[in-house]
Amino acid sequence: MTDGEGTPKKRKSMAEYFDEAFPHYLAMGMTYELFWDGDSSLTKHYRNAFKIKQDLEQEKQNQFAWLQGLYIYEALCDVSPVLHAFAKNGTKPVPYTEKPYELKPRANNKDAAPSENEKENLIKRNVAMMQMMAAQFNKKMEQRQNEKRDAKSTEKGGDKQ
Amino acid sequence: MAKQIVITYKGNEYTLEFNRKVVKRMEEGGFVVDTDKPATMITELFRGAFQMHHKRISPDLVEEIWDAQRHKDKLLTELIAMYSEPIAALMDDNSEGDDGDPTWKVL
Repeated sequence: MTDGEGTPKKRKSMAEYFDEAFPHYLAMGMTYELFWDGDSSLTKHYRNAFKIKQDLEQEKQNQFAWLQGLYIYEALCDVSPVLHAFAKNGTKPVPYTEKPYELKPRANNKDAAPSENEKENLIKRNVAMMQMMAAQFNKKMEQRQNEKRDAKSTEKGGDKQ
Repeated sequence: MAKQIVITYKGNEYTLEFNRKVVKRMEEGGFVVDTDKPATMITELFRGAFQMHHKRISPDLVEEIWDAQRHKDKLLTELIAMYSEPIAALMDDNSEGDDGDPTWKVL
């Protein structure tokens, strides 16, 4: 085999391939002994295991991002009462949840029942959401009425002319 | 698990296998799979196959065991396949789960 200029091209030896691959397998968690002295087919399994690990890690990161989004969404809902334009004086944001979500099901039903404080917060949050929705609805109605009024006045103006 | 050959000779069992260290050492010692010089290659390949599990075996005994074997052509084919296993196991097999035809053919 030549490199196109007539000089023979040096073939890469197996040892060179091994030396190149070795650090990659170390990074995958394979030991020196397993790579060099052990069953040579083990590298296939280490590669497969590494792929599985990467997939699981990706899945975990996705779950984490989703949960974080949920907390941010909840925080925005909590603070929303004071954000809208027609908020009454003295309106306060709903307190942010006191503890993180339960990711595992609770051991017994007694624990599963929400505390008084939790219930109160839930009611406050629902009231705040209702108020926000009502304010938005009123705003839309007001806009429609104004549009109708404007349309009528332009019609009358046109008739007079 | 990598391929192994087991030979029983005079009541002793010998396991023939290659790992990366043995292949590297053989290459460093000047070994190449060269079918143009089969006689030299066979001896070295057969001797190398003992290195993983029977480091201290004498070259004379290896030669004796080789001489006692039948179907040497098949044995040699297997030994060459075994010798290439450590490198083959490093290559990504993209065809896993792919039922398509191979991209090569044997002439």
